[in-house]
Amino acid sequence: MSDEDDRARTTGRRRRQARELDGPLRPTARRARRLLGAAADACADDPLVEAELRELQERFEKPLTVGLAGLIKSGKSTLLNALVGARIAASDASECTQTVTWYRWGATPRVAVHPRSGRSWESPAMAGRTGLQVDLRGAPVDEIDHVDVWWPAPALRTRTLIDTPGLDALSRVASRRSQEFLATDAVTSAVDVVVYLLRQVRRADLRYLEDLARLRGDDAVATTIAVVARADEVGAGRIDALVSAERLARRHRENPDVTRLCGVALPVAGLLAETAQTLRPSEAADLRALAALDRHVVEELLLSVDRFRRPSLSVPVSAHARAELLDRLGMFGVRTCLALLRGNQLDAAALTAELSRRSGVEELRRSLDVAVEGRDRRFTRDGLGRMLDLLEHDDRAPEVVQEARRLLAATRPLHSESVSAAAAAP
Amino acid sequence: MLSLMDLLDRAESLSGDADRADLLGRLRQARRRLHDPHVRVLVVGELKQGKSQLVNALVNAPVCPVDDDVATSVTTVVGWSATPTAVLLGLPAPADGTVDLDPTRLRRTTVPIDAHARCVAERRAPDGSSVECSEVGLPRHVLAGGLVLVDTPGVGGIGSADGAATMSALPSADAVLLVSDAGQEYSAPEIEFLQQALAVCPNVACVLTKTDLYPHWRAVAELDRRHLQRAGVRAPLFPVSSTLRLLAARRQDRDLHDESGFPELVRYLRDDVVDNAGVLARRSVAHDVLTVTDHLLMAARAQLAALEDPAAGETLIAGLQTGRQNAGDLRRRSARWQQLLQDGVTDLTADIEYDLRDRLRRIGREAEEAIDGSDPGPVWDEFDEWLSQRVRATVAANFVWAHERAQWLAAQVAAQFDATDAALPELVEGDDGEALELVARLERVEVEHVSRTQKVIVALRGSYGGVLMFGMVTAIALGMSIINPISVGVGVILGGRAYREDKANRVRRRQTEAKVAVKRHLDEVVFQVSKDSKDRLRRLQRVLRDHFTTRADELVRSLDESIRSAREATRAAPGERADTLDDLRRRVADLEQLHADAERYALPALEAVPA
Repeated sequence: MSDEDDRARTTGRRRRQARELDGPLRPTARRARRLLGAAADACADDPLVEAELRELQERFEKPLTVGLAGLIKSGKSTLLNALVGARIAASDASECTQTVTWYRWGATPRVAVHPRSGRSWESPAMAGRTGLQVDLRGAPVDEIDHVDVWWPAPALRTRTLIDTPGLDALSRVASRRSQEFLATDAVTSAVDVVVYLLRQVRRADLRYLEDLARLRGDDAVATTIAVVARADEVGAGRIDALVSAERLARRHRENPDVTRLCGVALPVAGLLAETAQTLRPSEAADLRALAALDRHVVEELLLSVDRFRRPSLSVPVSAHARAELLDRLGMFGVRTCLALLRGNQLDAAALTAELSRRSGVEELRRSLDVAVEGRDRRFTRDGLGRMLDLLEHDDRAPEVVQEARRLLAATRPLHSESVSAAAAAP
Repeated sequence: MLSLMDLLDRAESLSGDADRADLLGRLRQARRRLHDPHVRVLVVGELKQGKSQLVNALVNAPVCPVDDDVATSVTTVVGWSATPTAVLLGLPAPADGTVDLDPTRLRRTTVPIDAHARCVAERRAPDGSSVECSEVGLPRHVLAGGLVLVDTPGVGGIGSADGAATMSALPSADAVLLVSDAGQEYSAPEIEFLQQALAVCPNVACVLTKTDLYPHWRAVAELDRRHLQRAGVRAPLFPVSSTLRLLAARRQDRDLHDESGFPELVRYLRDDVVDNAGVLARRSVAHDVLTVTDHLLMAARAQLAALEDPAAGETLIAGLQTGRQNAGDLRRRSARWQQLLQDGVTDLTADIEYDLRDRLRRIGREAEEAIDGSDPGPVWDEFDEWLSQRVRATVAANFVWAHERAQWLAAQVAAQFDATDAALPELVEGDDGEALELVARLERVEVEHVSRTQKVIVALRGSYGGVLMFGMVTAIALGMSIINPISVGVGVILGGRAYREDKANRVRRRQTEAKVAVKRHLDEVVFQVSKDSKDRLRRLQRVLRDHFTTRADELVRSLDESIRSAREATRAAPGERADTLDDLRRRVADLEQLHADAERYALPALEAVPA
């Protein structure tokens, strides 16, 4: 694909971003953007200054870049799918993500592989059993720098997501790539927010978090979000698992070792959230059929995964379909769905909404929104400060300068505010 | 078939008749071992993998606290007893603020079994004092063979300092169960742990828990088996579900129990772990009885021969005296085995220290290269972490190697001793297994030798991990050698802080300082670790020397006895002879019968014959 195509795509995205900025959200960003635009217009006769101001202005329109990191099998890909609302990142029982993969918005699905040296190539966007399959052309994982995926999911318009291989994996090559990513990309402004996934706070987790905090500097704590992913598994898949997970997350929030290193700790049942976003009508019907069974039969089914998918004539849903449900929802998800549907007439949409709510993914989205506002404030401070430096000694746009001063003064008190403070508010 | 106890009874009464207190002592020790057949199984793993629940499911009682969030911080030891008992062990409340770590003053609080889990979870006895570890006894069939389950704290995971403590407890355990849940395949630290564990512990098995919860447990089990194979770890893997086993027990549901995967695990523990340990214990007791009868037979046979044919008596006595000479030589410090032991320990000490220095020097060189490559200031924490991890791994590897070499040395000394023995045809050859068993037992008693300073370090760590383990069953030997370098590491961190703040310093000075700090740290590690391993080897030397000296003493005593009774026999009046002859023949027959009976236990081939 040519550069022109790329540029057209980017401008298209920018336009849409701009449109969103015109809405009621992100008032600071809107005002700062308008001021920077006005200043750039006023400086039209000075191309250098204008270009710089335009660049400052455009920074607000970039999607928030979110990097997902964590030990192996901590649920990074599943959570990524939940945030995107589609199963694009492959996840499996074994360690699965082998390369650092960037998921960006694009009108048509497209995959590009960037090796460390040599030319990049396009891979066909093949849908595998659990997600996208990327053709690495037999190149060893070590040789791949990163993979870019463009996907037409609306959620990607406002957020670019980065999936990384698990740390501490047995295939050390992939782990090393992740560490490099954390040490370089996550440190530079390429990544706005790091979501660190943990199952339990292990020593290794603290070590990686510490590395991150040190390398990323002052903003690290405000822009790192710890997520107790696979929260549904905390309580052995019991129906109150998420209560336990919330307790666990709260303890993490109070743990000085953790608060020192990241702003928020949230429980998220990634699998539940992912499936809630992608629940098929047939699956909802199967769940309803199961929920309508005699309570005793259901309890026997739910004893273990093997019991749940064992062929049985007395269960209306085929063993294969049940195994599928289990794959998609996990034991906790199935238990939750059946409990929700028993005696309640929930339709598929209501079920989806309830699952989404219970999974905790919405809190994570809110935290990311808060992070965007944090970034807006940072950009406003930097952008307007630079603008005042440039325009201070001429009177091409006195009212712009005045308003910028006012906005800066309003932004400054919030200087130390972090994601944590905002998110802690109910 | 006669029971071992019966054999011991007969051997004791015969030794009593012969008035041999030294042999009686040996038999009494064997009896103690037989009475107390503890087969310790260490349950280890990363945190929140279901270790406590596995122990609960194995004994089918909620003795270990299970929580979704809080990890176990107290070691719980579960063994057999006729009635359910629970004892909390804690340090006495400090009166003057100092922590008293005298094992004999450990406070033992008996609590109702129902309250045990809560007390352990809160780490508080009912009277408010703190709990360091606890012992639980339950009348359970699975524990009847002497099986003792040790639920280790999950704090920190296996890669941490506590993990190192676990590591040093391994040689004293009869088996290790590595617990990990079916939610994910093995990570790098787990495989590393398994490799080291296999080198020092005879039985290592992997348990995959929570199979009722994870749909992909079969795939994970398959992956894990492949990882094990690739890493060259020969350990069985058992996928189990504790939840199903507990439920099955409640419902008395055999199908559900089979589904839980526990039958295989229990079979493994019973057949491979307990029975193996039992076979070894029985064989060693039978071997003791054999040796004792050999000694008694020698004297009785000499007397008998002298009585039956007084003319040949003098030749017999001359032969015995040569034997006495040889045996006497064995006791002397110049004996070959003594020299072998002496030289062996000296070599071993040097080799182990060299090995340690060599490994650490390589680390030091790597560290210097890393320091030269960049400004050490900003990356010091990372560097420090890397350094302590490397040192930890190195010390663990050195420890494993030392253990293997110590076993080899013990076998060599035993062989040398027996080679001299060959000059005494009446005695059976010694069993090399005995010397090896000594090495294992030595690691077991090590906890009593923990020195004063080491105790202080334990105190420092006590509040964190609760790995203080004292008492009978709880004597998980804390090989402090592995922990010391970690506490030493603290000094480096502090040192690191100090100069990181000093931003004005030039990079080169920082590099020099960093190198000095690393060098000092490594020196300290060498000092501490080699001191510890020297101590351990000295103990080894002492134990082996005592063991073989006792054997030589027994030999000398038996030979003296033989010579004496043979002399008496030749001097006896012909009239007395007939009476004594009958008496003696009966005694020899008794002893030979006992010898034959004991032999049946001592021979592995006949082990399978049901009693």
